[in-house]
Formats: sequence, C-alpha cells, structure tokens
Amino acid sequence: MMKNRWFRISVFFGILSLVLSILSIEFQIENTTITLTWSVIFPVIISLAYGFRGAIVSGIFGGIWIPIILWPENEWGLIPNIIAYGLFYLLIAYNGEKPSSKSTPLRKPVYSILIFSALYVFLYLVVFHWILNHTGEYISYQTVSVILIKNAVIFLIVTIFGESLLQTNSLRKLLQLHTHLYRKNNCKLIIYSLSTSILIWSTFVLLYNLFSPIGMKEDYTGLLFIILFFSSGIISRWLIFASETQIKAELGLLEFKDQLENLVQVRTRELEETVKSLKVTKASLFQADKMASLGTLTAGMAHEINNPLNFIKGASDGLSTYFEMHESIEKDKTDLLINSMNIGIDRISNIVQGLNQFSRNNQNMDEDCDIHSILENCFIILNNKTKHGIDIIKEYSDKKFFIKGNVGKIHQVFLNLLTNSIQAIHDKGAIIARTKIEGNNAIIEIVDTGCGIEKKNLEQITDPFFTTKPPGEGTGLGLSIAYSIITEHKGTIEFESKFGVGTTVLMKLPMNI
Amino acid sequence: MGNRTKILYVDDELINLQLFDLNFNKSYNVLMADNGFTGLEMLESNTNISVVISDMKMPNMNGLEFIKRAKEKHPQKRYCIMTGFDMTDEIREALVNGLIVKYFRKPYNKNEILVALDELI
Repeated sequence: MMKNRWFRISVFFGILSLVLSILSIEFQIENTTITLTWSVIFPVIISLAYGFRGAIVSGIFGGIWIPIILWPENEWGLIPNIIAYGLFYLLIAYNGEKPSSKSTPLRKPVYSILIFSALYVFLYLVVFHWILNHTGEYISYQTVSVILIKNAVIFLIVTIFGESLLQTNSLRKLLQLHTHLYRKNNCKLIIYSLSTSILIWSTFVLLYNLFSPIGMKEDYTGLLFIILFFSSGIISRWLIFASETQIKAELGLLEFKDQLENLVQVRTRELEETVKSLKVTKASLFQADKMASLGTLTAGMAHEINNPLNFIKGASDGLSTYFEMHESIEKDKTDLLINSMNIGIDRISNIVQGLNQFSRNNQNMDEDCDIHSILENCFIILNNKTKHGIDIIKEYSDKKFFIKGNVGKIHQVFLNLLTNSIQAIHDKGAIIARTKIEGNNAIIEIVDTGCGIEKKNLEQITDPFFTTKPPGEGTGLGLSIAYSIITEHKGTIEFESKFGVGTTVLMKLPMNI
Repeated sequence: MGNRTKILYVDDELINLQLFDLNFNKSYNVLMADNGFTGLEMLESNTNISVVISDMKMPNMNGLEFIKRAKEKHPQKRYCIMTGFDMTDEIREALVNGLIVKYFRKPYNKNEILVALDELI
C-alpha cells in the first residue's frame, strides 16, 4: 500500500491541476499574457517531493493536456504546444530530482531552463516552422523569445516557490508522512525565506519608484516584476539551501536528544523501581531478622521461666491439696496466700505466652485468630507502658469473633499500632479499642488521643523506614509491616489523624478468606 | 494400689517429678523417670502403663524422640507432651500425625490434666 502512495498522490494532483487549470492565474507583461497554470504548480511540487517519477506521472495525468483546455481553437498549433509542455514536465522532473550535496542549488534549474530554451527554439523555429506557416500561424523570433522568457520565469518562480515549501520539508514530509520532528524548523525557514523575498521585493519597488526615468514606468513594469520574482526567489533558495545542512544537523541533534531523553527517563524509572524494591526487601529482611532473633530469644526465655513457674504452680497445687486434707488452722490466711500465688503465676504465664507470639515463625494463614484475645494479649504485654496516665477503653462487640489468618502476625499488627498510640500520648490520654462485625467483615478500630500525625506525613507513614521519631526510637517499620500484614489478610487499613487531637486507625478484615 | 491406672511421667527436673507425683498420686499410680532411656526401661518393666507424659527438653533424648522410640514398641499406649515451650511446628506435627494425643503447657493446669487423662483412660 505504502509503495503506491507517491503514485496515487501524483495522479491525484495531476488530475486536480487539470481541473483547476480553467481558473489559471493570468497576468499581463507588455503584450503577452503570462499564464501561471495550476498544471505547472502541482507537478513541480510533486516532482520536488517524489522526484522524476512523480513529475512524469502527474504531468501525464494533468499538465500535458492543458493546451487542449486553454486553446481549443489552435488546431494544429496544439501539437507543438503539447510537445512543448511535455518537454517542460521532463525538465521539471529533472529539476525535481534531489541535487547531490556538492552541486550548487541553482545549477539544475538553470540547466533546465537552458536545455528547455534550446529545445524549444529548435522545435519551434526548425521543426514546427513549416507546420505553423502552413496553418497561417506565423511565429516571429520575438514571439518565441517572449514565450521562452515566460516559461523560464514561470518555471523558476514555481520551482523556487515549491522548493521554498519543500526544502523546508513541510510539504515533502507531509506527503511522505514524517511530520512531527520538522514542525519547529519549518516555521523558521518559511518565515526566513518569505521575509527575505518581501524585503528584496520592496527594496526594488522603492528604488524603481524613486529613480526610474519618466515614461519607463509603464513600459518596463512587467520586466521589473520578472526581475523581482527572479531575484527574491533565487536568494531565498540560496538561503534555504544554506540552512538545509544546518536543519539536517539540527534535526539529527533533536532526534538524538529525544532518544537520549527517553533513555534517561527509562533508566531513571528502572532505577527508581529498583530502589523502591530494594527498600522493601531491606525492610522485610531487617524485620525478618529482627523477628527471628527476637523469636529465638523469647522462646528460650519463655521455657526457662515456665519451668520454675511450674515448680511454684505444682507447689501451690500441692499446698492447697494439703490444706484440704489437713485442715488449715487459719483457712482465710492460707487461702489468700495460695490464691495470691496462683494469680501471680497466671499473670506471669500470660506475659510469657504473649512473648511467645514472636517465636511463632510460621507462615500459616489458616489459624483461627480470636481478635479479642489477641488484643487482650497485646494489652498485657504493653501493661507496664499503659498503666500510668493512659486509660484503656475496650469497646468490644458482644460476641467473640475469629478471622482466618496468622495469629502471630495479627498480634504484631495490634502491637505495632498500640505501641504507636502509646508513644503518641505524651502525658495523659486514652486508647480506645473498638471491635464490631459489619456484614462479612471484622472492623477493628484503635483510637488514641495522642499528638496526631501531620497532614504532610500521613501519606508516607506506611513507607518502609519512614519515621518522625528520633534515631534509635523508631525504625520506621511498624506501620509498613502492619500495612503489609493487613494486606496479606486481604483486609484494609486506614489512618485518620488530626494533628494535636489524635489518630484513628480503622482496619477491615474479611471473616472468611 | 494395683487397681489404680499407671501413668509414666518423664522429666529431667527432679522438682517437677516430685511435685507431679505429689499432686497426682491420689488419682493415679505415678511412675517417674528423669530421662528418656530410663523411661524406656520403665515401659519395658511395667507393661500396664496406659498413659505417658513427657517433658520436651531433656538431655540426650528429647521428649518427642523418646516418645517415637517408645511408640514403636508400645503403640497401644497414649503419649502426651508437657513443656514450657509454646506450640512448635514439631509438636503440631506430632499432634497431627497422632504420635502424641495431647499437648500440655507449663505451668500446668491440674484440672486440665485430670480431665484429659480421664478422657484418655
């Protein structure tokens, strides 16, 4: 399809020029009518865009038949006219072939005109002379030279006009379908050549009006127009040629710059992603490492505490059995003593069990997580931090409920959130733990009356290593871990905070994953 | 004495053994061993032991290793673990594949053990 594009465009413009030729632009120079036909403009432009083949095709489909339309009364005179036009298009085609970079830009049009003039003179004055004489259409040397000048001028004007459009690449690129890169430079060049033409033209008009002798004005107006057209065209053509190399270089540079910019962007993006994933990996590694060592430590510690605790428990059980069998002399006192022991044992045992949550290094996601007991466990662990100045308000739903997931991980989420709440309360305050069931979701809310989170930080709080705490006090991992665990449980976590008022963390966890 | 159910308790801590005996000898005939090898010997010489409770962390042979060896020779007996460790993957696995039937936590809860043993015997 694309292969035939030049052909279809050439045919189209050829036919268009034929249709438009009836509306030819005419102007009078001395006694001769100069006809600037569309049949010349389009083939010239096409020739510049597509070279020789384009000019020939559009000439054959359009321009060559112009004489028939314009001078239907000419009879025999048509044949030389058609031949002359054919010749003309051949030259246009020759002219339209891209000049090699070393050749002078004007060489080709000038050669074209010279060859055309020679052939034309030869054809008219030698070959066609007798035919024209025979039909009574005598052609004088003067007429031939006027026609020659006319055609040369038209040729040059159109070539230069077309070239100024095409060398700037706008039309050529439009026809050949690469436009996007050239727009900027096109504008510059069109303005460049147009303004030069206008400048030269107006200088000539000014000089002519000021210094021409009286009487010459009417006689040589036409000639002057030719000179003006000619000179402005040539100069703009020179300018265009001169800047073509520069344009090419600039375009190359532009393209290169674009490529480079793209490359930089791609690399930057890649780098950003790598940094991001590295950060996350580092965070999880850091966390895994921390949890693993903490787990080992707590498991060992728990065992060492539980064993002597077992002695006490056994002893206390033994004592109560003893008093049951042998009657205590002061039953109230011994009961109180044994009871105190049991309460102490239970409390230690609970704390140790809470610590054990860290040693659960399993990835099991189908444990039954009793949300209330996990919360309770966290409060026990954090008891020593909350007992002064912080009220713990528990607004649990009436019914116990379970979600499927990893008990240890859920434990960690609550622990992280509650630790943050505690740290946010500087003096006195309250933490509310609220739970309810909404449809299929467990809703867990942790509200504190702490210092709140600044609005500018709210978006970043779940980023790994983001912390506002002084070095050594916070790793910046707590909320990032909470976020990833909740996500792992297919839940959502939202933070609402007013600076200076407090923070609410809202978690939604599906009850049956 | 002869009509009471025999249970074997294995623990490397002497105090644990003494206290266990003190607290449970009213209900059961408690035999004791302070390591896995003694435990295996006791099982050989007392064929009518019905339940074995073992500590987990012991020198040379841990609770599960002991139970594994014991179960090979005496598969009809019921075995339990009582430990100060939290539930580990190892213990969970033993529970799942039936090597042990119960896991007790230290510090023990006397009632929990009595109820569980009643069920087992």
